[in-house]
Amino acid sequence: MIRILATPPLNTVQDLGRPGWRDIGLCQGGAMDGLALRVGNLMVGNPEDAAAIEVQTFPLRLHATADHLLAVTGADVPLRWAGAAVPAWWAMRLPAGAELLVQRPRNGARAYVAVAGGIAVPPVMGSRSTDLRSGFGGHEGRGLQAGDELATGAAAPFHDGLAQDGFGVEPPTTALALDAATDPDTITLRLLAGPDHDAFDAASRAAFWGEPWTVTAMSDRMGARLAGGTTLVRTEPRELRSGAIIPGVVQVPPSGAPLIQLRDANSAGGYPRIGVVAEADLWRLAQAPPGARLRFLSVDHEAAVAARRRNAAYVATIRAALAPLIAA
Amino acid sequence: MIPEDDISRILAAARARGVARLEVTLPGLTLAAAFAGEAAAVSEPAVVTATAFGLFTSCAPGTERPLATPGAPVAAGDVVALLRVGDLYRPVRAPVAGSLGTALVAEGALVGHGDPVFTMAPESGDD
Repeated sequence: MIRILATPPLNTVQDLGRPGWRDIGLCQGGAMDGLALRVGNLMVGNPEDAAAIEVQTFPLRLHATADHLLAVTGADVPLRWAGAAVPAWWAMRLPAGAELLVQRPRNGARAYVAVAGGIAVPPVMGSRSTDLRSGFGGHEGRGLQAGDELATGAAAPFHDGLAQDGFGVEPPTTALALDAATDPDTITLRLLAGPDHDAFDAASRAAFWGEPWTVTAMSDRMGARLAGGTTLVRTEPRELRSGAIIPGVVQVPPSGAPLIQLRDANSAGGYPRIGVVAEADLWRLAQAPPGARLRFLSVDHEAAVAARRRNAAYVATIRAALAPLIAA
Repeated sequence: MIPEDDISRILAAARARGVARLEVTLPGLTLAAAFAGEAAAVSEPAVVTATAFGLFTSCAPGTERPLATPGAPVAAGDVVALLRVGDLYRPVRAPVAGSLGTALVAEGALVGHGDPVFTMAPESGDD
């Protein structure tokens, strides 16, 4: 059992989401940084899609009522593990009664606390993810609060010495670094042109691909609103029929500033879709806090698929490195 | 003649450095002290040793931020460096509270179990 000792609002139980219900208007949901969730689960011997705690407001303090192997992945968060300072992308046993403190990230935006056995909240419509908007799933359909107790599932046997001593893994920031990302202060995202891309005038298209965009404070699990130096306008503004929205779709509302739909996005919307973030780069966007600067790199479908394969290869490498530690 | 205060200081310093036996002979004074094994063990580590093998890594994974800075205070159990083996990192931990000294091995050097990797000044129990 994991007991939450202190947490600001909006920290939730998430797994890889609830696909397949868009026809009744439900969002896909799930961890904003699915890559961090997968690797965190692997580090504690879980299936990749087990439920974990998504931490997007800090500090979070929890303790275990029994010895638990935990992992913290995602943002570069300072951690105190039973009092000892350890880096992020770390797994270690937390003794019964000892405290884990997850502090505000030095870099990135969201951390994931995975527990051996997974967070055992009851699945709803095939997922343990919290849908905050509709108020179901996760822990009582809401954000975590101090005093909440989360049951955990059966843990896989794990190498005792490493669990005791703790270990880290190579994070995707280095393993999946982009050659095109030359400025360390800018997050590069690969995008495909959207169905309404060519409806924008030449200056808008040039600005969209050429200028930096800043993530504003008006950003959450539903979407990220961006600000930039250019107002994006169409050659012939006209009303559009509503179209499907998936996480990563970049729309341009009448304000002319783009917004990127994310995990808890509505299933459909009527703003023009100028682009879509390659699925392989959604984790980078999940780690972009308000104020972060983005640049969009135009890629074709083939490159987006290749990027997805590279992500999968990274996860496979971590899985292979950890395999000897999981006693079969 | 040594003032009593100084004798206390000498004893404290000896204990802090893990001295097992101390004899001082001066005109008019013979001082002999033996320290209990446990007292010596508490403050014994003047170095941080590796408890695994791997390539010495001073920064947090995926960052260029050193895990610990020489001279900075560390708590017992803090991860002060890492030993890399492929995509996995094993910890180098501060054995006791104190202040970390300088690294004794170069970045990327292969380190074995028991190798000293940092000097360290343990926190004095008498302060």
